[in-house]
Amino acid sequence: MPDWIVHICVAYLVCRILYFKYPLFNSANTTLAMVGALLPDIIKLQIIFSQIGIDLTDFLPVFHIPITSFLMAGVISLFFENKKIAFLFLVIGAISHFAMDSLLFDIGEGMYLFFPFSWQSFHMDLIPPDDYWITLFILTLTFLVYLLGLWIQKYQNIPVDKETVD
Amino acid sequence: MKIDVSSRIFIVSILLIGLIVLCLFYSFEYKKNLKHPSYETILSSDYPLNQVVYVEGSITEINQDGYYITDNYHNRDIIFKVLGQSPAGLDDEVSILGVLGPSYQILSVEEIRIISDWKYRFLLLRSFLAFTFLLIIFLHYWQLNIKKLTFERR
Repeated sequence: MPDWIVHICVAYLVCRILYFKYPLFNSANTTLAMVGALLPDIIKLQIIFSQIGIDLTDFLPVFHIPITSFLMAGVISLFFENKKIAFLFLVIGAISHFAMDSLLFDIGEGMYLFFPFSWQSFHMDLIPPDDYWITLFILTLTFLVYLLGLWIQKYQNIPVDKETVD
Repeated sequence: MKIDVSSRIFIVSILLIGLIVLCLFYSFEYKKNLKHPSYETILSSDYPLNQVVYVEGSITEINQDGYYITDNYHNRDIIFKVLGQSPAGLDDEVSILGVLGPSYQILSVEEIRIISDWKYRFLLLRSFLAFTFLLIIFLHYWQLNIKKLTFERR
């Protein structure tokens, strides 16, 4: 996996850039996309469970598959006032997660993106999973986009956050 | 879209049943669809001798003719001996695609990926920090209304 900094930042970047054009991508909804970007990594609970001797090796990997993440997004969105918007942003985050993970080197099985309809696995072998330079690059880019957002809001009169269309 | 609590519980139940069905289907089917023999096959009487297998684990011992990697499968330690010089140090995580010989030996390595121990720990640490940060900003924008059982904008 790319680390969670990358996943969170990529979801932020997508939403922040779209916010310049669409107010729906405000900060509150962006945090939902950021949460969605971590949803597929529920699989990492395995690290905690294995420490306490509970073995979920056969069951947790299914959470790292789009359809399961979308179902999870459906469950979570029911706990928000505007369920459709919450679902939309959680799914945007989850999609950004799979987009990033598909770039990773993987000599194993890859990701079953179309499970349960197909067991075809995918990986593009472009980025090593432990490369912290990618993290640093994405973090810098996120900071620059954040500053650009502040500048645009200040000088071009785009409404700052509280606004919301949710 | 307003949905009352009982309807919400019903929908959550349906979605959770869907999730459980997917989990079960996956756990029953994925071994049949693996590109390489699973640990279950390796540990069974149907030992995939001379087949290419995918194994992973941390390096627990290095000696002159090879190194040992240990992985945990269903609360059981599996130790593979990989022949050849170790490309990594003790405690480093390796994933190997290689030909399985007798007695859990990897005779030749076709492909290997190494994550050094400190890089793995650093990855976990920064992910934990990122999660903490996300929790803080999420709670900055959203609060839980216990009565309605919904998150609302602050």
